[in-house]
Amino acid sequence: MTLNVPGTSRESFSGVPHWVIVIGIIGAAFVLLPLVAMASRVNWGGFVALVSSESSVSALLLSLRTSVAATIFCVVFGVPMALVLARTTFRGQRLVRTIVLLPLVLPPVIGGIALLAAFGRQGLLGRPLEVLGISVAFSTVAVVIAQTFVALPFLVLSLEGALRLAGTRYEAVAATLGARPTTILRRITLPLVLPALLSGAVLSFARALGEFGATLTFAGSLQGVTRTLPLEIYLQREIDPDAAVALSLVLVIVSLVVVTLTLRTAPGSRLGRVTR
Amino acid sequence: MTLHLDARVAERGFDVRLEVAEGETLAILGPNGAGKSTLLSILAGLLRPDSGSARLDGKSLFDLDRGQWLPPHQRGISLLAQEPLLFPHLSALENVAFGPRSAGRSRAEARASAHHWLAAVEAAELSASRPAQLSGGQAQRVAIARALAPEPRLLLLDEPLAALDVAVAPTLRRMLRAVLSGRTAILVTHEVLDALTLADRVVVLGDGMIVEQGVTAEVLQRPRHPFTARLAGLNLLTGVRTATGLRMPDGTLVDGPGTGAIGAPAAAATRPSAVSVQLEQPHVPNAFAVIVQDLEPRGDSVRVRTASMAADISPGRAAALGLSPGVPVWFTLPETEVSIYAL
Repeated sequence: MTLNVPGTSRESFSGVPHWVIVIGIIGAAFVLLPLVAMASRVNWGGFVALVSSESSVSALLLSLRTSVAATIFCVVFGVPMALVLARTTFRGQRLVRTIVLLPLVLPPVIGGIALLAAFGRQGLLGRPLEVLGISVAFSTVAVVIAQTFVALPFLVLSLEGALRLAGTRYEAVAATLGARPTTILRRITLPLVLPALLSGAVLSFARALGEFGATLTFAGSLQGVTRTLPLEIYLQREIDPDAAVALSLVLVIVSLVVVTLTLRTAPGSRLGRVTR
Repeated sequence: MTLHLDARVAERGFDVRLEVAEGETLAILGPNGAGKSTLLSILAGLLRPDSGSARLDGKSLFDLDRGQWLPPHQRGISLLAQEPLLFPHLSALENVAFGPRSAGRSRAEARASAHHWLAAVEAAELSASRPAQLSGGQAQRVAIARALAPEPRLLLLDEPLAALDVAVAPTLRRMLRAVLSGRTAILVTHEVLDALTLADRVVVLGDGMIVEQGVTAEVLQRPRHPFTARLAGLNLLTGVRTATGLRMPDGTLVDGPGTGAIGAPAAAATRPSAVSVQLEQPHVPNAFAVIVQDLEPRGDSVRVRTASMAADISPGRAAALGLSPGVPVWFTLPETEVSIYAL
């Protein structure tokens, strides 16, 4: 028995059996071990030189640029999608939700093939665009399209959940106070779900940053144009394993920062504070 | 008539037609599920009935036969709910300024109006507070100011005092009384005190229909519906008017003074405190054999409930009689305490 003694570490009843804690620790070790192993392989002497090579820097900058662009597209399209899914009812809504969330579970390569079928030179939309002189496939635009395709569900999912949790009671009050739907969206709905919107955007950014399969399939691997950091790492693994490990570490650090930011702005935190 | 409503919602068995005059406060009473909140939602524009129409100040709110429906923000009807529902990300002042802002007033005008209304509900010092910092009573004050700030033509109040501490409810009731005077409003309530102090007229809803209506004091003194009688704290016996009083459907006679034509449906009302309780049959008029259903302590008295009537007696008397559920007793209603009136 441990009692709550003032001034000492506080313990309260958790209800978690000891064996569950043990399995939990093994699971955490399983995630941590490979990362530690990789860090131990880093050639620290040549680290700066390895990550600051021209191809590395251009891959990193391309990754950041395209991921930011993809995140903006995710917000622009994802917010209306989440609003429609959370706040309206229509025939086939379940089917639409399933399809929208499909890229979450789809192997990214398949996403890439599907994007080629749509936007490739011979694609459904790609061919008319080609006639107009616009070529999408194997360009930086293709990278952004691939990243948006895989990252969009993250934003829609987290925002839709937050919208459902927030309910429509504040919106109803705002309407009876004379606010138009657009005013309500701007002044009530979006501020209330802002934490979820931010964490959804951060998750989308992280997913875009790590995108590999769909990008390679749909956009190719052209240095400075479509070769993002994950593609560069995969390439370097064949040529210069030390560089691959060093760049991997850079991506791990970027991802760590992203995850930390997400946890800080956990969805529903504002609502949680409000409902007391 | 300022407000005229005629609406039906088949799914909820709701069918109500009512009118509210300019400057009048109408109380809506009724048990849970009677359709009180449905009524407010329809008027606020949050629920679309199956059929019907509504007009406010000559302007049509909806006319479903012609497919016309005004969205909530164009109605000029404010809704104050049981919970304050202040926007959590805005200060009290910004909450109150929200309505005027939405109506297109400038930021400065909206703030000035918000200051005015906060002062009107004696909450001026709360203007910078966030909703999470306010007590229940303070938050409801701000919510009242917010509902009034758009200067609505009709104010809807859905049990505005129900969620408050008994300690703060009286102050807020007094403030609401000042706010509602001369204002067209509909107040949904469970509390007979709210109806008496705040409303000019009451409508009693039961199962989605109006079961009775009239001037508050009259309806409560002469209830026609068991729910109203319970709310007013009266025993209600119904039957047919006779020369000496009332004959109930089972043939029991109730003697007492009253009005109404002989042979017409009538009701007899008595206060539970006027009823006396005995174990032996008293040989006087208006003695009824009843069986105690339960006993409920009520401050300095005990309410003895039976299937048809209730009596309030002192705890000492209850103990002396050895009352408990299932005990047969005699209830006596003094003739002078019975009020008989036509239904």
